[in-house]
Amino acid sequence: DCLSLAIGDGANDVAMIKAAHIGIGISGQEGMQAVNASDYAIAQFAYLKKLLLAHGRFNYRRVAKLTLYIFYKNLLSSSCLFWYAFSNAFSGQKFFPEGGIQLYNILYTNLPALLLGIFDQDVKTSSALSTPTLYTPGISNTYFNNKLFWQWLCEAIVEAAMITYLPFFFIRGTEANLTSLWEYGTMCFITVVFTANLKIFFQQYMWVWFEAVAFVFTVGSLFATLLVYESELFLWFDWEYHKVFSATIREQQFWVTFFGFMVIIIGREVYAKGYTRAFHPTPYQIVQEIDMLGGSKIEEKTVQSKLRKRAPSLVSFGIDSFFKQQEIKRRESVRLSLRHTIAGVVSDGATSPSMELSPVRLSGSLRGSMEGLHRFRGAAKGIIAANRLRAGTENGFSYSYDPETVMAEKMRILTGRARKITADAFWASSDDEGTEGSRSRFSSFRSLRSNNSNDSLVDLGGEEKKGEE
Amino acid sequence: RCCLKSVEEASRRPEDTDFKQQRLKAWQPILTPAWVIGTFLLVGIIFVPVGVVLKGLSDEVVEYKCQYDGSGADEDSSDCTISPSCKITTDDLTALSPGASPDPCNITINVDKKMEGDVYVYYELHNFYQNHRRYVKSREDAQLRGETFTSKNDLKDCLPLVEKGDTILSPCGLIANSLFNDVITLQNTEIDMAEDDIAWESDKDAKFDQPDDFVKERYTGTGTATDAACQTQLSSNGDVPSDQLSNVGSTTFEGEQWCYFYNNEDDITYLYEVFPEVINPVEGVNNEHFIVWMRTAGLPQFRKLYGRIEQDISEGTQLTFQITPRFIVDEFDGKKFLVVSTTTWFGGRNPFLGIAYIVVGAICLALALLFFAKHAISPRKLGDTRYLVWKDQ
Repeated sequence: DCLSLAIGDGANDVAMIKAAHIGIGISGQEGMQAVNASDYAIAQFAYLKKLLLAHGRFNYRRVAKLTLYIFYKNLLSSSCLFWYAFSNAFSGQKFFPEGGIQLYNILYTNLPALLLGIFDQDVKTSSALSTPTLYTPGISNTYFNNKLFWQWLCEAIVEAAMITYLPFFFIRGTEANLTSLWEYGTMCFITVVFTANLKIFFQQYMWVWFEAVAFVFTVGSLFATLLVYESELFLWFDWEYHKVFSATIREQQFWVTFFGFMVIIIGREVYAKGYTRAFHPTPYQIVQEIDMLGGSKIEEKTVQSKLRKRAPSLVSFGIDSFFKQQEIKRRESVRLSLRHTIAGVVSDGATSPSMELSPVRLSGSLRGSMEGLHRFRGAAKGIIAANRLRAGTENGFSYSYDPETVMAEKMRILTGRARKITADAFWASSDDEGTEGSRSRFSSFRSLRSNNSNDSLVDLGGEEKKGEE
Repeated sequence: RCCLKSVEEASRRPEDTDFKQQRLKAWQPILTPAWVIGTFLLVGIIFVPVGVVLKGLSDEVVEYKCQYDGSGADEDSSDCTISPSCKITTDDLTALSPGASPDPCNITINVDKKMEGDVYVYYELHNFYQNHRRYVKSREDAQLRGETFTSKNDLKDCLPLVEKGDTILSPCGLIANSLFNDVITLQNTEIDMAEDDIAWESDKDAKFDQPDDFVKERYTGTGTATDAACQTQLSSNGDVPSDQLSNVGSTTFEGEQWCYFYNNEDDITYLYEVFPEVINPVEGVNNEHFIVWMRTAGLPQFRKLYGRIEQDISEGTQLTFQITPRFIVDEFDGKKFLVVSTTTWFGGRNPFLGIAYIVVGAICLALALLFFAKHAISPRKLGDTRYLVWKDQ
């Protein structure tokens, strides 16, 4: 059920890389063995973040959308012919122009889908990197699962039925021209091509100039090729289609019906998407809006801290804290005394958590050792949660020995001793409290790490260094 | 080590262009509630009036539809009076002596509203599957363009109908040989029904032609043309092989005397021989009714143009059409209709389109209102970070 990713750079990592679902090799100091055995090769461990959060995420979405779309557009076109069978005594007569059928996948629905699969990004790269919550769709198979697959297929079948049969009601028996076989088929075919192309419009979130050009080109090619196909040049190939296309597009009733169709089919999609976005949004839509409104307007700190409170995952705690600490550091206030206390507790390993606190900047009216204890306990919970995830019992990650894991063991012991203290209610209180709490949690975590190991990667900066022992 | 590394890195580093670093400038549309409400309002505002206009146009059209064969044909209709019955069965046809025609019937239509401009006369068939695959396939395009085929093996496309007896059909195939051969004439003396220009120009030009060895000439002699006189006329021109002169015939076409010649009459049965009451030998496959019929319909209920009345028909006129029926429909539970209809610039009678537009427009307005209401009552702030949660799907 789980997907595993293994990353390594040495020859001893080759077995692990091969065994994992996704093996990433780091090329560099230890030679190329890991790279040769890997699925992906990167140059530095730091690039893993971009590989996962940016490239991996974008490509998952692109490939999933492309796959579903290709199934959809082909089913749309074939389903029309299927539905038409009900009107032609199930004899198997096609009513689309033969040239059109052949060029459908080559020309009329090809380029926009291809460009979607290559270039589309739903959020900016920077947002994808800074908002790890956006990575969850990949883990939970949001963009490609059974339900979605059948949903697309049903959409194709239902829309095909509408395209084949609504003209029967809209155009019936009036203008003798439009009831002939090939004109009826041409009408449906033009509608099918436009429907398929406009579907892309709702899957694609980034429109570069050449994608717009491709769209126009595709639609234009429909008209250009069919106009050539119906001329004398191809009389030898398709005798019956002679001048049918131009006759169809000259009919006012066709265009009126066509626009009616487009509104019905596309309108349904617009409304569904607009409604879910407005009232049941998914994270990427939120991030898109944040991007659109100008990311700086919304406090990234708020985003980050709220994320951390709600999504205590490796990704938001481990990697993010590992790399984002610079920014966090800039925004957090110092919890000097608390760090002192916890540091003392940890190095001691045996004392009960009684602490003296020097004035700490707290919100509301909470004071005293009790609060300190709650914060400590919250901090401990957070760290343990992070490390539990890291240890791999829930998410399948695995880490080799590192100082954090050691520390987590110590914390586990300590919280066992602190369990007697009640008043969880304080901890699980208002938003403000939560923000402060998470900030302090984080600073204590960092201080623990820095105290236990001379890890130069965690640069605490001037202020906090002052408080160090 | 550091310097070597940086040199290597520099040479393998990807270019920092927008394209390669996926930083392309793009339009990133977001479907905010404003867009949804705005679009639906706009669509509703456009569609409802358009629908009203279309409905109005459709209501302007004056159409009379008379069923004259098939079940339900003899029921009384306020528009049409049919006498005697137009119904015909296969037995009626077989009971006819050779060369005789079935009894014609009259359909009288009381025009109770002025019909302006070109008034179109159609025949409509129900339950006739011109779009059946084997039917549509059953034609030989080259033969219709004038190429002569002498062997039935070359006419495989036309199966199952290639020959009649031991002669090859020209044109062969099911479509050509199921031509609608009821003859409809307008009896009113002061009103004319034109039967030309009913087929597509492009069809007439490019797709249909008499056989390459077909010859036709106006009769240059005096009086009524006879076969013998025509044979003399055509033999002197040298177009006709001397051993085939007996196949030369004479006929009247559009008020004039003509001589014609079809090659290989012994081995080939031509269209005018299969449908003598509709097709004149002089025009053969160029007959517009035939060309109209050859353009197969897309649905089992279809209407084909038969003729055109190029003048106004005033209120109170009684249009009388005489129909000589020959086309059998009761064997497949089909129906035959005669339709007389005016058109507007938008086409014939089609209330569905107008109503559909009004309905779609109204639904769009309703949806826009619903969305607006819901958005006003419980809006979601754009970029609201409370929704950034890890949701297990």
